[in-house]
Amino acid sequence: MERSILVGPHGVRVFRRRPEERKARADPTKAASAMSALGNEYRVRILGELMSGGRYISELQEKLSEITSSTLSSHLDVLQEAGLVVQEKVRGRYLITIPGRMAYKMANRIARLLEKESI
Amino acid sequence: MRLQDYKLGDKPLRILEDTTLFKNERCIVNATKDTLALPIEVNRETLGYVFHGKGKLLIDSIIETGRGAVGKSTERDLNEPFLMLGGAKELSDSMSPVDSSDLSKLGYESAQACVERADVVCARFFRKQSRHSRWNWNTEDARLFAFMHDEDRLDLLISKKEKLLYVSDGETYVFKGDKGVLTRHGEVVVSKKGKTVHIMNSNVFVERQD
Repeated sequence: MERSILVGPHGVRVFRRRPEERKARADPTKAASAMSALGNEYRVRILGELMSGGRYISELQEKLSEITSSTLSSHLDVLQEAGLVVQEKVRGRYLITIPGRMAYKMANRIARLLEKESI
Repeated sequence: MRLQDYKLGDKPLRILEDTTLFKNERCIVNATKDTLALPIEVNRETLGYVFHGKGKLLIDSIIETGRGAVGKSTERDLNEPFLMLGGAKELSDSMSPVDSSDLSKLGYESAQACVERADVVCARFFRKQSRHSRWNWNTEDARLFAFMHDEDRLDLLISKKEKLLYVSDGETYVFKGDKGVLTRHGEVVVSKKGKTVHIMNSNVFVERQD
């Protein structure tokens, strides 16, 4: 059992990890696909919009008015292919998935860390 | 009415226009014009039909949780015969008897060949050891669909009022208004009015959205 301790402003957290968990790595192709889906400002903004609930494409278009509807659709296709977003076939809304929420939070966390580093 | 006492009609009918067999906010089942239909009778009353033609199933079996959406949205072509119970009276006016050209469009040489093919899905659904055969079916406001999944299994879609149950490939989804339950291998999600319990790989997540 491997232990690591994180001391932060909100207290102390102890992480425990078994050796076999360390070995269990994700498929690099899938990992790269998820990361590449995040590699665009508009796709990150789409995920941000979906964090507060399902949205119709017209609602997303309103929020991202600086891009065309075909560009928006192709960004949504990329996010769907990566499994970060799912579209309802009947109602037509776009919803963020569990991996999508994790990816969005992770991207924001990294961005905040990099901002701090640059200061 | 015990479903195991069913009798399949021997005179195929055809649907005169593209028809929505079922629709609610999560699910649509369509059948196109010229789809063949064989009546399913129990005690001389038509309870439903076996359809064969070109149809489509759309279903949003997705539960929204505070951690993200779980489940999937499915769009499936219905090219194999499928069964519907309920709603038979509404459909009876939009069908007419077939002629040999209607049958040949779907590759049938005779009405008997059509009946035999339809009986495969019926036999699978109503077979004596199946729990479905013991069901009582006394309601017109409910719909039941059975779709061929593979050689041995059926996918089931059942709706009554605002309740919807969908069973496919080892996954079960139940919806009623804003409540939803999903069970699949190693995972259970229960969601009700912004509260969610998600059990996955022996981990339990409990959330409450305000």
